Amino acid sequence: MPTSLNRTKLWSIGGGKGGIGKSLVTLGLGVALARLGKKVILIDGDLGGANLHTLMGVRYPHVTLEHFLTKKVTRLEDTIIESAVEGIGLICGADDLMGAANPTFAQKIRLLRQIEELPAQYVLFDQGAGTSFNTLDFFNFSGGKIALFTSQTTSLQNAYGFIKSALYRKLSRDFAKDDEVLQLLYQGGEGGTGNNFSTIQDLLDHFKEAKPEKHARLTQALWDFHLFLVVNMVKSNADLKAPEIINSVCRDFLNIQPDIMGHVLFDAGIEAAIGQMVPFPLHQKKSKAMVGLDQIALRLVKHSRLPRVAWQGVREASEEEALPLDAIITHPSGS
Amino acid sequence: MTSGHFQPEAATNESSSLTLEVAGQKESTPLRIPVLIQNLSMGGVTLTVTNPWGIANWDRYRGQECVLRMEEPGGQEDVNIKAQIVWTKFGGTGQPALSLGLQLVKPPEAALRQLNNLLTHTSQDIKGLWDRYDQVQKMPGPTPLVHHCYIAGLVLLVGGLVLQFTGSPAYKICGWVLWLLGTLGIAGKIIRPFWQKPVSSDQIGKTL
Repeated sequence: MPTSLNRTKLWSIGGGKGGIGKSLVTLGLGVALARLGKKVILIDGDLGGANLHTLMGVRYPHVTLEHFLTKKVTRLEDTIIESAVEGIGLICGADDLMGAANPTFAQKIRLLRQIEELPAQYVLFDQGAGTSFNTLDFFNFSGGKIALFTSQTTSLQNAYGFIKSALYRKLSRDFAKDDEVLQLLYQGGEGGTGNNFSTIQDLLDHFKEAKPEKHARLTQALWDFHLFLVVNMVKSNADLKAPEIINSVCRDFLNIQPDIMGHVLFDAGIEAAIGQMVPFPLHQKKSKAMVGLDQIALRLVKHSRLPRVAWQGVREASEEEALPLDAIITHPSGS
Repeated sequence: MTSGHFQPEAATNESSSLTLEVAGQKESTPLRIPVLIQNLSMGGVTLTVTNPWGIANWDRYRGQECVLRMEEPGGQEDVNIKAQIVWTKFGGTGQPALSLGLQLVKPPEAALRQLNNLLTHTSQDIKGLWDRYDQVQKMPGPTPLVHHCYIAGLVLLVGGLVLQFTGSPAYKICGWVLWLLGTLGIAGKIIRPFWQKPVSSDQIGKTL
């Protein structure tokens, strides 16, 4: 069975809800990877309300993604700011600029192409809150996808909504020219349509006998959507059930089986670190949160190296082949 | 990738019907009116009355006690939930004719689950999410007994140690017994999770 030996370089951290610690986890993961001797670049993908640089103690970033998106800087590499942590470079997000908050199709293509060329072993992409098409597209493009959430009910709901939106976005891209699949996909789960497609499995069952080629494509697309779950701000053992809930709902309704990558303990010391604008892993000798992040970083490295066994012998792109950016990224007007 | 389907414990029974029974103020017979469930929240339920025109003034029922009756088909026993009408609201164009807000009075858990299953417009996956969340909430955590044993163990351990190091020879034996008992109490809490079976996400979906 063929395998892909590509190393997963780009990891996105998303989760739909704001305030769940996406930026802090991105920062902590970056520090943990740097401590493992890896060269890491953090990108603040929150194009409307960037603050990863603030968490890293950078008050006035002299160059941001805005400079790259508006072509004031030609190469993305030139927007990297060296941080206080050895081994970590930072690309600051654009702040409150309408144009940057809603990049055009061409801007997205240019950004994603250059992310792949960044001089780092790992690029961690901190996604903004919400489920805008830009966020979902950046998340779907990443080889490593981490859905982050807390055990709060609102976060669970938003995390599932985010995962579902990202998956449906991917499927709607993969089956953009297939009206039948799209129609059934978006009718599923809605009451009163006369159809009983409440799960993706229902859709698969529908095609299994009648249209096996569509069944195969759909199965492949679901297999390609490989997701990792991380629960943040864990205060008790009960909070550790949160990723199991998400995993169970994803398995039963979306036909995907996310991997539970780990958990990060609630750490009251982080707030003090934010107040002092010190990267939180450097603030305390032994941060409770960093214990979990160190373990997640090890798993991230392991999963980045692991060759993914291709589904039913379907060939995967080799390292030399160009990334299928145009197939993944959509024009905003066409969304 | 698995293809497991979510199988709720209480299957949706679409043929169940809901009736609201309000004791009459001046009338001798109570008002009985068919209703549909519109929404469910913690302790509250919103109902729709599709044909409210037979009653002139619905506002007079605000604050009144009532019974929400779930009539089960096939000769099963009806489920009655005591409630109080909190608000009434007539809808505009495209809205249900009349909506009623009810505060349920100590509703049995099984009855709430049945009401939940009557919600027809709910997206099945979101319902699945909340069903799993509820299931996890019900899973046993550390029992008060274990916690009390732990606290008692701590007290005994400290007391025992104090007696052993500061007391007379006679008290030292007593201190030894106390700190041994205390250690057992603390050990019980530490060891307990090891013989508890961990719950996996597979079980969460299937045991619902």
